[in-house]
Amino acid sequence: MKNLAVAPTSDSRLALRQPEVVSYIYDQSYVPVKGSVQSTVMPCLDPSEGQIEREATEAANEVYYLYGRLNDDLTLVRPLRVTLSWTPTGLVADQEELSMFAFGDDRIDALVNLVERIIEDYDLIVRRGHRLSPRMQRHREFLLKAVRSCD
Amino acid sequence: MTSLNSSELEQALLHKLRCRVDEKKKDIRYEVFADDGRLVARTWMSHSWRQNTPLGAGMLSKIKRQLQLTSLQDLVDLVKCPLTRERYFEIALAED
Repeated sequence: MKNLAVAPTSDSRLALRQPEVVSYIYDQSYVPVKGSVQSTVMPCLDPSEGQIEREATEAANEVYYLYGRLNDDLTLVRPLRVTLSWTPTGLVADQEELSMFAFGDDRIDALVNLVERIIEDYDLIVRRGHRLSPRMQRHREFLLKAVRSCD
Repeated sequence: MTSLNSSELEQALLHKLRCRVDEKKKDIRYEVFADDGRLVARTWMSHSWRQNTPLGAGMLSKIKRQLQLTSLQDLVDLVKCPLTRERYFEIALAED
């Protein structure tokens, strides 16, 4: 079971549906009992306003912070800022410091895929013991500062 | 305006950079290794991208960053051919 917490930020202009998103994460078991979710947002919009929100979100990105456990082995040391944006090729969750992005059919899908990518990247760059280029070596050092193994 | 499509990019990753490909995941991961065996870069493409899915400047910018290129023009040149495999590794292996 994953222990992923997704916290909307106060600077997200379109955070109105975040409680719904958080609820969905719980439904998908991505936040177990020990997980923590911080939300400073307002109650959900009426569903009939979904179109209004959709139109608005196409014009602006949303900002989230990922924190907590990524899986049974890995934990984020500190919150990671994620930008969700709608592109012609779909919804994209982007974490700039890790040079990482993931696609999704919706917000949760994109965020969960991003988490899976971070886990995948840790496995590829830290655990497999590849020799690394100078930039990838720096990326490895950053990963080690951002993600902690429970081993 | 900068634009490439997914098929062009895939061809460059497979044939020019000779990436190792991992298709077992939700998205396809491409791993770039230098001739001396060092891992230089990794990037992903979505399984949902059909042939010739156009990739806009925003997406290309993310892919450029993952491929350790310094400009979008370098990525375009990598795909469209002016930028050779050797030159790519000079850029990607450079110390900042």
